Amino acid sequence: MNPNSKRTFAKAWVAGALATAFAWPLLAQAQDEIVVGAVMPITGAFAASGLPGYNALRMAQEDINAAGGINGKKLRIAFEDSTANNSGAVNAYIKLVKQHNPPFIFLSNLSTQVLATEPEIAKARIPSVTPGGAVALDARKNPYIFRTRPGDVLGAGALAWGITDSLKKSKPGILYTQDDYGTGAANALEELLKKSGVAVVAKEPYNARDNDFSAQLLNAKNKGADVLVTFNYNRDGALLLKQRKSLGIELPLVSGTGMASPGTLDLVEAADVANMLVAADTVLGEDVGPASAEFVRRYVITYKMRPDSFGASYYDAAMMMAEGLRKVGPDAEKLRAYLAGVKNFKGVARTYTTDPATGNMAHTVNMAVFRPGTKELQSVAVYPK
Amino acid sequence: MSQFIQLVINAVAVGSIYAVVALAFEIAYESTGVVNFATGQLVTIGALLGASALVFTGTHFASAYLLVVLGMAVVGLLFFVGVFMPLRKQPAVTIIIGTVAIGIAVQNVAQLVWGSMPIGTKSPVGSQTLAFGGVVVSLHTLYVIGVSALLILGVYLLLYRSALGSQFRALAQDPEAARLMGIRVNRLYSLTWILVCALAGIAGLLLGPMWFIEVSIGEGVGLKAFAAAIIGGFGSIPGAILGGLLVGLTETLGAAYISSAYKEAIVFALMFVFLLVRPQGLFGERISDRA
Repeated sequence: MNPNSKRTFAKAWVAGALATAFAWPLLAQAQDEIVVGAVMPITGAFAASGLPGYNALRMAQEDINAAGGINGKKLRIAFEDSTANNSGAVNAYIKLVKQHNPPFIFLSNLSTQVLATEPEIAKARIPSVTPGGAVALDARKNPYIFRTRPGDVLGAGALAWGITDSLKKSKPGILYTQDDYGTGAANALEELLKKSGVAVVAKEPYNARDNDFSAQLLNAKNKGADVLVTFNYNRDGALLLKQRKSLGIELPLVSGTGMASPGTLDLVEAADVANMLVAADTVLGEDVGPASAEFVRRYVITYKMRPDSFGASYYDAAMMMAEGLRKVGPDAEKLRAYLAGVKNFKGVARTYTTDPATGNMAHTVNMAVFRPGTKELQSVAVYPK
Repeated sequence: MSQFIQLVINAVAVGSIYAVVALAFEIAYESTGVVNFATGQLVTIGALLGASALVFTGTHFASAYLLVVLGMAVVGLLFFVGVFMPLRKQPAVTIIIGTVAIGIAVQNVAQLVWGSMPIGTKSPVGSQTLAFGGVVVSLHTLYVIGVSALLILGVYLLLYRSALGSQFRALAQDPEAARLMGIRVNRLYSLTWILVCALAGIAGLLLGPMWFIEVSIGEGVGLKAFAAAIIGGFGSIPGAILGGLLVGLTETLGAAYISSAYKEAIVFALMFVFLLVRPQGLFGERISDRA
């Protein structure tokens, strides 16, 4: 061997030894863990709506690993920020698939982001869950998407019941965000009310980033609405509540679960949520069971805020996924089949049973009001009755 | 009728804030020749500083407001040293792109410092409402209109009724001649940026209790104030006032009586019409003449 060859050999040996030394812990770690993905709005305009899910998934990861992980392997949730727009969600999803090829992915809580990502989900054939309820998502019939919250058709049914049967009102005015979620839900509610002989007297769309809702609120009032219905996110929901009060509008307000989220409630005062009926999905705590109450207690201690139904449904989805991984292993197709067959899984938000035709796992909505003078929810009925 | 009155009062409050921000656009443009597309983000910084100052001072409004004005003065000096001085001899397009880039950078830094969650703040006049003849108006709405009017009056007196104002106007007309006349041009430039930032910051302070503060709060305000400056005419204080009020009224009344879905489209359609038909705006000169 000439001296040059010797030097080259020595260099290659040193490089190989160094690479092995550095890569070994990573390889060992990769063998000892199962990585699943999560796409959620962690920054940007919708961060407030994504935070409960982000917190709950981190808590679920800790709990799953504390309970022995997945058959002895650690579970790791790789988070990718979907930011505030659809392209951000699609890019985040693709990045997760390319980097980790995970057996499971948690999808954004924003239906519009899930809808934008749906073609990629169909291509990747990786089972996933979302709490997003958009009507348009039902039409896609994607067998790899499961939904852990009530869909907006069910939610609209609950709101229609709240308007006509609970509040005995007959002239609703609807204010809604102009996107897949708001428009779909508003149309579904209008259709349902029409079937009961109730005509919507005002339909006022707005952009989710709008700040001034005085025109929409006053229009609905002046068109003779006897009840306001809103389909909103957090910040816009809180602004609607504040502006309803500052404009002196005393009409009762019926809304989806966004109004009961801490992202909304932290921005308003107890007086702002008076005279409201909320289709709250679920009222976490003792009403659901001791595990739910314990989840609320720990969540509040850990994150210094109350959990909401979105966060709780992510936590439950993680537990169902972990159970599935333990039973069928990290095989995406087998895990999809497992999730499609879930029956009576008792979570912290509710009991889940998958409808294999739609992927819907939640089939009831809790109608709730705020206890007088507080921002605490109190269940008044469960829909369907 | 009561709905119309109520809408007009709300529109005037929002329009007053647009007018103040439009004034910040115009002062920067008149004195330094820069169309500052980071103005919206300066509104954001003012609002966020206000939220922090209120926490820091235990909701002592006078101290908090003073801290915000001082903080914005520092931001103005930084803008002068870090943005204006390096860019001042560049072509207009470079300066415009530079201010857009600075705006994006400022917003991202704000997100790192304050996070993305909306923040609710209180008004010095509380959350009470006044009711008269079927019209309900919050005290803060009236407060916004009053403070904006005082600010605009103050800027008018500063620019047209003071020695310093004469220097500002001399600088706007011909910086070289102003320098030859002994005016300390760089000092005036720095004062201009302090004034611009203070105005934007106070607009942010006023917005806080009306809306919630978040890192994107200034984006829309900046764009609509720019539309107001175009409509009113760049380089004119009455133009900024009228432009701001017109944008506020168009936005609110358009949402109420034409379409709430297209209210922003209506505002920018109005700006577009002005650019086509009367590019100098109601009182000013063509923006393209400077660019």
